[in-house]
Amino acid sequence: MSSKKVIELFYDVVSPYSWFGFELMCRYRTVWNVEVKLRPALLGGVMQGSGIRSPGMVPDKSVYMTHDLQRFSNHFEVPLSFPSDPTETIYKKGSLSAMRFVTAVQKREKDGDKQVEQVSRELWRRIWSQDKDITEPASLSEAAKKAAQRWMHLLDYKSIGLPMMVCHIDGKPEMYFGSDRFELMAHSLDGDIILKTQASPVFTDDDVTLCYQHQSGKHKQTSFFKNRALIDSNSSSGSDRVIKMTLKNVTREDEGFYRCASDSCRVQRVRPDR
Amino acid sequence: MSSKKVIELFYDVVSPYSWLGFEIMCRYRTVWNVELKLRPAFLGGVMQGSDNRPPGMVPNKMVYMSNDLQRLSKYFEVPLSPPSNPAEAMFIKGSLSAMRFVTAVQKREKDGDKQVEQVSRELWRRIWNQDKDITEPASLSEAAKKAGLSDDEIKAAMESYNTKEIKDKLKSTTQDALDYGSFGFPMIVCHIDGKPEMYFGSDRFELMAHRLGEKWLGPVPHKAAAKL
Repeated sequence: MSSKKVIELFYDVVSPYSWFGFELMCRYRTVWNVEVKLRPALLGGVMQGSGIRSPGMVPDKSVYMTHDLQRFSNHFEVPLSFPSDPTETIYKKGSLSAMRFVTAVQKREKDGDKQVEQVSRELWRRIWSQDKDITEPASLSEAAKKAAQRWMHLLDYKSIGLPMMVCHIDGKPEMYFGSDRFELMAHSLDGDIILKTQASPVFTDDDVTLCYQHQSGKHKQTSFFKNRALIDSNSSSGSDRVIKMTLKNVTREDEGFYRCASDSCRVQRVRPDR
Repeated sequence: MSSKKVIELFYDVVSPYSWLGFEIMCRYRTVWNVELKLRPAFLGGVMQGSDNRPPGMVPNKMVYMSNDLQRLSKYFEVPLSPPSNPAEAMFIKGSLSAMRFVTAVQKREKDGDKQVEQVSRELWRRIWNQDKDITEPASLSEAAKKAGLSDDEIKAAMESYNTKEIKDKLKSTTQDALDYGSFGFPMIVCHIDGKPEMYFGSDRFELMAHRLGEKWLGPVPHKAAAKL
């Protein structure tokens, strides 16, 4: 199995779309073979540095976003709820102190990023779910300096806003802005194998065939996993382009996340039928 | 089977993201239980009416979009290739004549919308694949010919696209888009339970499918559903 691809996630808790991108990346970091690096940053700085107006400044965009965010909140299962005075919250009070605080937490955290993940989430909950204040007394010095450095680095990537995900693929950074590029990102992260399942619904007692198609001819072994446990493994030669595995007379117990991997490629994910 | 849900697609051939959305909707009109209504409109008018700026005016956005469109072009299997001078093609030359022409074709087409679909596609091919002009009369008639219109049909469209009737029709469709709250294209309006739901861009299809009670099979549905 090849090594994990690195994904940098730049975000600011003042940004509701960042919350969606953040939650999706936190869910997918255990599904895709990736290493997610959280990069708390300052959206105001990105806007200023790139000369972009906030979308909320265009009246029709503001109206559209209200509906768009509500639908995504339901669809992504992220409990987003508008603050009572969005203009004051987003544009006047802002998130400078909050993002400095997150940065300070990250700096202190030695092992992993659970704390910075949790703190970020709690801040989002306050502003974008509970309509609470997020402007706190800042311990400025080092945290402020790091925050400034971080958003300057983000401008090096020519960011146009947040969330911004930077996937490092074959040594090159590929940027994905917004929370609506996950399908494309998955496609870019997937390399060798295309996974296919049947398109129509699956019923009890059906036979379900999972099919994996190698795009290159470099594999020798192809394995199937269900919920991370190995369930099938075949030696396959480079000339075998299509390898199938059939689940016979499926029952409810067969529900789960199926993935496959080859010695030439990282783990892929099969989307279960609904 | 319940009656088809109506989906209106507002688009302008100057817009590359509109081409992506257009091709996806044309593929899905035979997969989902929907009735697709093509609404050729004028993006310049929408930008002005909503006090918005084209994203390409922001340098970082232009750079981002160029990469974004390249990857989407491959993933969506739509042969997008930017013109040699995108700013000139989009902001200076524009698409007013082209969209009037598409409107004229649509006004005349009595049965279905195959011609308006084909002419729109040929115009996109010209500007966003072959780096050709879409403003001159000769460009428009060539696109119509490639789209399979007869000489008589082309002549009728050429004679009518600069009339007041067609100019007003394009204005009115553009105003409809603005009335729905549009600030850019593509704008897809799904009529669900008697209420319009708007989707801006070509990156809301999975969500749209969910709201329609349909299944999203990726950008090339006939491949996903093919027997293995």
